[in-house]
Amino acid sequence: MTDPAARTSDAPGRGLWVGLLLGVPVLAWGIRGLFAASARVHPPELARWIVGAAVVHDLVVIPVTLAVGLGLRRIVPPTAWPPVRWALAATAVVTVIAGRSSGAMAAPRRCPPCSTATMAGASLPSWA
Amino acid sequence: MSAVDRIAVLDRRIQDRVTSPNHDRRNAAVLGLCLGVAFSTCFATGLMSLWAQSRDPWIAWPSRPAGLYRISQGVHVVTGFASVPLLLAKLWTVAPHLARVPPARTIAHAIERLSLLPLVGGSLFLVLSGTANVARWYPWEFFFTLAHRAAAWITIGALVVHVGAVAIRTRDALRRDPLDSEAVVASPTDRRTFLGGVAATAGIVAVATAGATIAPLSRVSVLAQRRPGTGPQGVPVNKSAEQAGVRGRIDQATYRLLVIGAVDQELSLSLADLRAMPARTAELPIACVEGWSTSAPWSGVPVRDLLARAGARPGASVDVESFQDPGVYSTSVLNAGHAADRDTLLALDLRGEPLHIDHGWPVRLIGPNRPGVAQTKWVGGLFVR
Repeated sequence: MTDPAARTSDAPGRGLWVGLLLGVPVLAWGIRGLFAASARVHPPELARWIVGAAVVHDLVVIPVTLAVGLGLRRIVPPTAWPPVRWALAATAVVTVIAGRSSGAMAAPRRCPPCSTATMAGASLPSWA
Repeated sequence: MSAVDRIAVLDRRIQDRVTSPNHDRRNAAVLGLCLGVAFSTCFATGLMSLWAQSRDPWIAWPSRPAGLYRISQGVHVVTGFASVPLLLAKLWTVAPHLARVPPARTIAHAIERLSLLPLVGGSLFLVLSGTANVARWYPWEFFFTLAHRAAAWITIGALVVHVGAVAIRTRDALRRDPLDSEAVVASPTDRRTFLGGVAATAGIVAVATAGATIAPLSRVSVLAQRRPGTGPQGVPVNKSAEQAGVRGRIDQATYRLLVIGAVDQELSLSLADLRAMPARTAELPIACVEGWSTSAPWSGVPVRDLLARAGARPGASVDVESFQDPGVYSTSVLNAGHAADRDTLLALDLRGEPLHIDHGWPVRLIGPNRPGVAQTKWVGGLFVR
């Protein structure tokens, strides 16, 4: 990423104005929906969740992922790094998705993170 | 050196530290395109689900094809789950932009970056709240369905703005020979390894959750919260009798089904009366908004026969009332089309046996092409309109 010309092309194209014309009414419809049902949607609380999700992701998830990745890269042999990195990322995703059971009526489940870790381990030779 | 030059140098220094090809522009474009397809699919199927659940839609939700809701909602939930790795990877790919100085160089650029807040926050909220809903975990005060819907409109609006802003950039990044890309020169295989890993994760997540609705996959769907074949009488249950507060509330001897409202003759029918009426058996899916579904043979009295017996006018709609604790889902509406469908039943039996109490004993509503929350259990009355 050293080509300055490539970087200046980050500027949004003229399509931005078309996007605003089409997208802002849709966005406004969503905000209208918030206030139309404000008693049950609690707009301030929902806004906290939406903004909070972006802030937590950018200020916590990204730096922690970066730190863990940089730290592990020092101790994991380079050939093993791609499968290890994938295994960690996939396990994290799977844990987020299914780490919590939906209670008494849920189907009996196997340990989801264990499943991914096993799959990742089994795939290690093919990556390295 | 002017201030502008100094900022440019600082920005260059930060961005030059990003050497991994994972942050390549082509990766961002490929992942963006995949997410665009996934989110559009979720949005369209989500609107279908809202339509199916709407009590007063502009156009009535049809009762046929019987398995339409099962497919659309299954697609909604599996696509939503598969979006999680796509979204996280996409955000990781573009993360170095967070450290750009200055954050925006023109007004257009500032608007574009501002539109990322509802886009990124909304996207994260949608996958997070959808996942929490499937796990029946509500760490907030707001009503999930309405909040998820409002966030979907906000996110899609922001996505349209974003697509407009980056359409040409994305096209150029995809058209360019990948071998020309600055990052690929350093490591030609790493970029593909990254994308391959993301695709593999999305695929695993899809297969590991799709078994909730595609029976042959249920054995490998380790992440599915409900699985076909698992549950009383081989059919999963979303909300048990205990959770709905009906345990001990219904007495078989004194039970009466009331058919009241706009009818010539109000009915009060015991279970024996219902069993004496001509029964019909239909193979129908229970398709939950949480994405699981399973098909089973249900037997009982067609609602339209009850309406005919009570002398309801043709084209009548019906409120179906449950014994469960009052709430959003203790009543459902049968529009005229659903009420008149021959397979819309007040079921007494499942697989030839009386309903398990968790399936709505003694009487439950089951009809073609209805969301699970509108297949009212523990039915006590029909209010005809």
